Amino acid sequence: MHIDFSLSVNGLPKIADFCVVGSGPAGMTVALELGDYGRSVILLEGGGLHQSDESQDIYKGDVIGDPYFELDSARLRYLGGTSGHWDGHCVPLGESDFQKKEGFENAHWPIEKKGLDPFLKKALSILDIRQPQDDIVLDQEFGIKEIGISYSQVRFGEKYRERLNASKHVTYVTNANLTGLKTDGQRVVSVTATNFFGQSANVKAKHFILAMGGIENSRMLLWSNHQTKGKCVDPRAPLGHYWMEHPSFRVGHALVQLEMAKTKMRLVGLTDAVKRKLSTLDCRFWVRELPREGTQALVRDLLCVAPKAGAWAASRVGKNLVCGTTLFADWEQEPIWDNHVKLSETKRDRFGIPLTELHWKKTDRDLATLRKSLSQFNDYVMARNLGRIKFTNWVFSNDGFPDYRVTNDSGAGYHHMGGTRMADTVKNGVVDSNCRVFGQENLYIAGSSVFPSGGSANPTLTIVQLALRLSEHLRNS
Amino acid sequence: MCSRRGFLIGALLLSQMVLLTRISGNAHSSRSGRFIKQGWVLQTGDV
Repeated sequence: MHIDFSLSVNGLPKIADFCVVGSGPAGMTVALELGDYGRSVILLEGGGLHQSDESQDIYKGDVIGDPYFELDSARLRYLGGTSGHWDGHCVPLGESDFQKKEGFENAHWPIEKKGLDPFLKKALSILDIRQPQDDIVLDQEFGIKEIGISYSQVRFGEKYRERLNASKHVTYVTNANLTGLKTDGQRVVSVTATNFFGQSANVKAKHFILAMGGIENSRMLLWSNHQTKGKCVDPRAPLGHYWMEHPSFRVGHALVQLEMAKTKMRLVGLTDAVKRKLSTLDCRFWVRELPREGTQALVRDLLCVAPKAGAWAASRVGKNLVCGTTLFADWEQEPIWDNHVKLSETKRDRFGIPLTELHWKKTDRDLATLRKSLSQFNDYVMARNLGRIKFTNWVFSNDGFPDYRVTNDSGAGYHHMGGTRMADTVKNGVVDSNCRVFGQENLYIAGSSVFPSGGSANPTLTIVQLALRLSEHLRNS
Repeated sequence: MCSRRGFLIGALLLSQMVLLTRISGNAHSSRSGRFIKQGWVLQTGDV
């Protein structure tokens, strides 16, 4: 059943088993899954059925630190959430992504990959994709592997709206903005939803799940903590901290003998063994074939700089054995305390809630992950006589990261992770391994804000797996 | 005095060795026979 909160704030069920806030991939999955098992669910979506300025404005905020996207354009706030404009790349996290990594104190999960594996099949079905092919090791000695990837075209708002309409157990409420959360100190009693005309109603449920996004989950918990004088989240928890992105840059060009798939693109990375040997986090490279003119220009460039290598490449280009490519890298950022979501002290949204102030920087250690991984890939290419790579100047210079707006790079992956990280203890996390908020018996978090580390995989498949796992936990609790 | 001086020289040499090891481990251009020219990573025989 659908209720448009902008038309009436009356008519909500008096109480539900579950109240889910946010209808992106995480919230939608939890709501539908619980509904399918006969549990009553109220699904609150702050935006409407379609994108609107009044809703997007809630997502405005400031970024302190490195250049980053406008926060109100980096995510979508309407039914289906940011899946309304995502690229659909789906890659599962690997086993090592969950494990402790030497030299990186906080980059591990309190659960193992096998804890998510049982939910993979259903997650693939929800995303309407085949399972990405298993990684293929291209060279054992250098630890180079090809990474499997699938592409989803699912827009959650479009694909699952009919199922929401038909559901006997899920009431979804659009234009219902979360503006307050009431707790008795141990349990959340109710939340307040407000429409864009300022009319409010309280929503009662036995359990509450915040699935508002990788920045908004932190913002709303920080605000709730402020409103309840610290009674919402255990004060020892690192709320808002250890926020992460996937830095993403063009790092060079290459003339390489690498068979290109139909997509004219290969996605490669390092094996777990080599990552351990190099003491590095995860990094992957998109090797994208250039059009003929681009290849010819690269050959001419190499001929000028290194005539013998250029002649080798030219002879092979003619036989289609070598092609010109652009190398893009996106990689795992180390989770650090300083990268965090904070409440603005000067700016508020239309409901009086402080806007986001995101503090985010890439560090020298993040750059080291890129350099070590890229060096390893270059060693492989040269040792196997597969070609030559031309790195973009900044990668190995002392200049640090460039401004992505100047270099026309992606800069980052629009992947918002951390802030309400999962951990075994409250000192290290905001939620436990079941995604329950430390300090509340019936408040849970869904989405990538619970990621304690991000690997280099696109997060949505993991988000859906985690949402299914949370649903199962909630059904059984 | 001699042993103090010896200790200091030894410490200095050790720190230099550690530094060199780190640099050679991280910098792609220091591998034997490799060099960078106008962004290209090349090796002896390429030019």
